[in-house]
Amino acid sequence: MHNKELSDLKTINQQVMIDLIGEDQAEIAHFQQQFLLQAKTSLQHIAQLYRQEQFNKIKDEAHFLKTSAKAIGAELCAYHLQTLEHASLAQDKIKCKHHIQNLSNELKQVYLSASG
Amino acid sequence: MSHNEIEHVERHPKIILICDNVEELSGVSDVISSQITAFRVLTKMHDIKDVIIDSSPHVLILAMPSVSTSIELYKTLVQQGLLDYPHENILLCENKESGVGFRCCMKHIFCDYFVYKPMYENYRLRMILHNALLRCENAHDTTQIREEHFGKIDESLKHLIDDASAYHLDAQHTLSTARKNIEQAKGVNDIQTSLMNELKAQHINPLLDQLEKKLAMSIEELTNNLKNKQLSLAELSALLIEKSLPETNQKVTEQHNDIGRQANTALDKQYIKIMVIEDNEIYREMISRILVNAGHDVDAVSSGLVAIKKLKKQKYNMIFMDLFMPKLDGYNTTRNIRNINHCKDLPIVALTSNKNKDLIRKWAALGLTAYIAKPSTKQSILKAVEKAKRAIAS
Repeated sequence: MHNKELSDLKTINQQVMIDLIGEDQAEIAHFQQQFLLQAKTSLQHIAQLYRQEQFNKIKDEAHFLKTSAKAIGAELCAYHLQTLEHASLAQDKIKCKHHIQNLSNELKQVYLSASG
Repeated sequence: MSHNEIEHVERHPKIILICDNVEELSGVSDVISSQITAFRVLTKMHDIKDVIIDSSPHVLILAMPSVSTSIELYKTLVQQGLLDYPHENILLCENKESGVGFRCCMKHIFCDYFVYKPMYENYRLRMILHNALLRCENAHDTTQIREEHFGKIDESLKHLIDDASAYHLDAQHTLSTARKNIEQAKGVNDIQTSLMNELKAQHINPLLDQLEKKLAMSIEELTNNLKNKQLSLAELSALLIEKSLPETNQKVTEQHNDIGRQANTALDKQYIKIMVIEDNEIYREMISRILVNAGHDVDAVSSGLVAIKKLKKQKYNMIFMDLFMPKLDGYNTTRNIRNINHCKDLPIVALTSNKNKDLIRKWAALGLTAYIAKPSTKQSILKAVEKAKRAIAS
């Protein structure tokens, strides 16, 4: 994400996990499933924190999920999590809501991509 | 196994006698077992390690064939981090080596020595054991009291942090209710309503905004102060634990100086023991798999606090550590790790996606071997292992 334009980012960049853990497809699928489970819980937690306006905790949770998003190559998810981190740091509730919605939509794309 | 060894097989001994030849020490063993039943004779290295890990015996009696082999054995146990707790060590030697035994005690390699060959003095040995056990029990009591004391303070600090957070939420709720009530308030006629709206816009709302902001800042400052106190407490506790360790631990390594051999042993091995500290379980599992598949012995933990506890008890050859972790971050975990005697030069590789160079520079000042940007690649991770191996060697 450092040197990539937003339009270059992929829902799932397979090469990231190949570089990290190798080409074992079963292992790749295992980690993708793990990520989706983790993301579901994490997104529910973020929504709850948003309702309570606990911006610092939203930032921590977004940072946490960003690690695994990057690790499985979910580049767009990682991008939305990064922007959510920035918005929560600025305590900008409107932007936070926008980024949470984008994240939720992108996670659906990851699910479709991983299932397909 | 000889008859005498079978007799002294206490499961959780307070005293252990480490020797090569059980038969030769049967008289001494009988004296010790008549003094204390929680006693065990050990000859094999894996048994010695198991008993120390399980029971942390108060007194170790070393009766190897020569003083130098006893020192060598004790040093091995110290270097493996098995003796990082208050204990006493006693050297048993032959009369011909009594001068060496005396000098070892003068240099604090052993707490005391006792000549058992060709003859021994029964009551002298009993006296040495009695005093050693007494000193050790006092040290253990002090450690226990200190742990309880620090535990209570830590618990109180946690409650205060939770209370501050609850107070913040409560105050925010009160302010929010006040805002709603003010918004809903209307005058008896349009003029009064208009005046009230003006008053709200110009005075009351800015006042509430300011109050809310100041409240948030004060609570944050208070919480940060409490967290800093909690950290200082953890550091003080770690320091006191280190200070309470017997002087013999340090002296045996200094006096019998072959630290290089330990480093070379680690380097000679193709595979090393690695700790992975990462709060995200998916990334933690990925890194661990890469290292395990490369043949390394990996121990993965989810927090800095768990890592510190493990590092106090076991030795590792290197660490992979995340920067942002709940409770104790990578920087403060590293600070605590560097306070552990055998971890001062332990290679640490930072795993982070953080771009805050100042923070990474501050962390690097504590002695980082390498820095890896997440998610990284298998190649970079294994290269970092090689770099750590070279750091151990140098």
